[in-house]
Amino acid sequence: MADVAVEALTKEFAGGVKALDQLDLAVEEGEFFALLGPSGCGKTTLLRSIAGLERPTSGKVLIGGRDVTRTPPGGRGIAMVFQDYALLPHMTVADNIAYPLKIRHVPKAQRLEAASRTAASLGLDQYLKRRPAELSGGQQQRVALARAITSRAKVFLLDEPLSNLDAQLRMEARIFLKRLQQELAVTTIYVTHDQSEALALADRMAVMERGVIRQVGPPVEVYLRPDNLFVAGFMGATPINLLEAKVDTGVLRVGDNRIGIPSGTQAGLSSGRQVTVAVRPEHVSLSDAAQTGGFEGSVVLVEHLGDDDLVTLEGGGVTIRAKVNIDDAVQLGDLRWAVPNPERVLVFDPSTGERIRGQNAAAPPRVAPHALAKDAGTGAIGTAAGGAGG
Amino acid sequence: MTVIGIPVEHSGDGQLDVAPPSNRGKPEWARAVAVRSIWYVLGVVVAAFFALPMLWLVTAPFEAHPGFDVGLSHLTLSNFVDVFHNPNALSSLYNSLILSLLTMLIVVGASALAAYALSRVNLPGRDVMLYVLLLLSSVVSGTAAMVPLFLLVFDMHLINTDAGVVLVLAAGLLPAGIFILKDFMDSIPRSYEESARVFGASPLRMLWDVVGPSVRPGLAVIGVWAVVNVWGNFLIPFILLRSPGLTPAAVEIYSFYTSGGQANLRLISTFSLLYTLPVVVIYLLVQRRYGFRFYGGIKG
Repeated sequence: MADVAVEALTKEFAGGVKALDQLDLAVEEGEFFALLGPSGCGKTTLLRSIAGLERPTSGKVLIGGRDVTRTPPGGRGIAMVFQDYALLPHMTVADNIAYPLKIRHVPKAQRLEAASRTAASLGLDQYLKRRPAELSGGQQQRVALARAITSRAKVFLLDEPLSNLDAQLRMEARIFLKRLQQELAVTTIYVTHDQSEALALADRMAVMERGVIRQVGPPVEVYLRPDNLFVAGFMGATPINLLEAKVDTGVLRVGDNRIGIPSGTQAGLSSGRQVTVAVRPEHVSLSDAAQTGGFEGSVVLVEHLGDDDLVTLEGGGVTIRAKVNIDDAVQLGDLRWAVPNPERVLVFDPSTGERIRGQNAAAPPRVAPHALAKDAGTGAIGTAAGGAGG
Repeated sequence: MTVIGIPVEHSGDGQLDVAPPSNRGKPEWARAVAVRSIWYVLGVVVAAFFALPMLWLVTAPFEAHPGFDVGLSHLTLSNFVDVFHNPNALSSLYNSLILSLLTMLIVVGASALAAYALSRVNLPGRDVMLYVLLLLSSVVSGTAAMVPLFLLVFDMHLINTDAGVVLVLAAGLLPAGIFILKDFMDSIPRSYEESARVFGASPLRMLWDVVGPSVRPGLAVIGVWAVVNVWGNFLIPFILLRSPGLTPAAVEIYSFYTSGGQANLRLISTFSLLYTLPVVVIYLLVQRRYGFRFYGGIKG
């Protein structure tokens, strides 16, 4: 097993498109790391650069502390699982699984034995004689994983491995993948555009946008405390509420409403400052009676999400969405108070898009060195502003 | 109204009906029969036009005195005995086989390597080059370049050698071979090779393990096509080969005359049958193994 690091990696394609821009990343040994972002954000280019399938314009790739920037893919000790699995259609499952060993000139009997051992551990033993085309998508995916395992790679690179599976199979494959990774404890970098996959699988994750990493951290941290408006907007199954607000003495004025300043951010908020308040619909509750720190409004839209309802409230110059239990039976036109959970209210600087935090913003555990540096930097700004305010 | 001999009834608005409603039934029916008969007669004539030479090819070798008619009045195998006793007949078939196989090996091998490189490396002007090559290839082994070709092969001291013929024929076939195989290779997902590369495969290994097997139908098509082309080529071996011991069947067949200077139909017909059979056999074999259907992409 090995750790993976990327230093100031830049990849510029012909035509001047910068897929990666001075990117730094450190993935720890044995970690399940997810790269998340919208399409075209450079996550796949980053993965392919780590694999050696793309040659970076500048910067370094280190695997297990060794600089492999100029090493061909085969010499990096990695295995890659592609979106289409890339199983060779003319070979049997057994030959496919044994293929990495064939490249290394392992004798046939020996490599087929290794293949059948791996296949048995993944529940593929009865399919060894079949061709990939005769298997279901989920089985093909397991064959691709089995092939990666036989290669005895120190790092697994997975490029959207679940996106070709249908919804139900994807859930099964997800559980399978997570357990397999825990069992093998192999460093795994996983590219996906599906945040639920990243949240479910990853020990840590990075959210990317246009060639740069916007936040690195454990999934819960990224979900609950996004560093910036991009991450805040990208994460979450339902779009986050973004509300224009102005700082008044001790409170935030949102439209005609006032809410308390979230604890820990007071230092960064001088009176009169324009800010963006963000709160996820799942952190907003509805109340029949007037509430302090609540938004009064009438229900203009109810969307059924299955287990929840997404309710849109309008009133006092504010539109806010709340996710409520389906049993609440909210009706169109009802007058309600939307109450954001004060613990979960986030405040952003609308001009930079960065989250405003106070001095006591707790550093999330297990964060890569550069992310810590970034935190400290923002903290320092907060302190400076706080000092000026005091 | 009829569409290819099938009468089409029009009912309802009556606008399309040509015949007046009063005498509709019988003439309509009669016309359909007439039209259909004409089609059948035409069909038979066309079929006969193509079938009769084939029939002649199959019957004449077994006929004691073949003429230009089809029939089996005096069944015999003596024609075959004569062919086998002819000093050059069998060896010319062998020569054809050698020339075809050598050319096929060069064409398949070289066009596979070239097509792979051209498919994977984006050279500037690649497509234009391929089209120009394809256009010129018909000139290379054609009549127009006969004299320069002869001079070139002469200067290379390859006149009257198999190598000279094989090189010229292969050069003429390669552009089309590359063109077709490149198309096959373009349709292989890149991830196949990339996954092999990640596991440490060299380019040659990828060609052998990944690309080759995926384009096997394409290789078969190119191979058969090269063999058939060389097998039937008269001009190039006729110009470049001098000694009778080297000439292939396509050239040899022109030497079958009777002592009176007339075409020896007994020898020609029997030899023609022997000359045709290998091509038919190859076609059937490949057809059974791959089928000549169009491969528009390879599914994993």
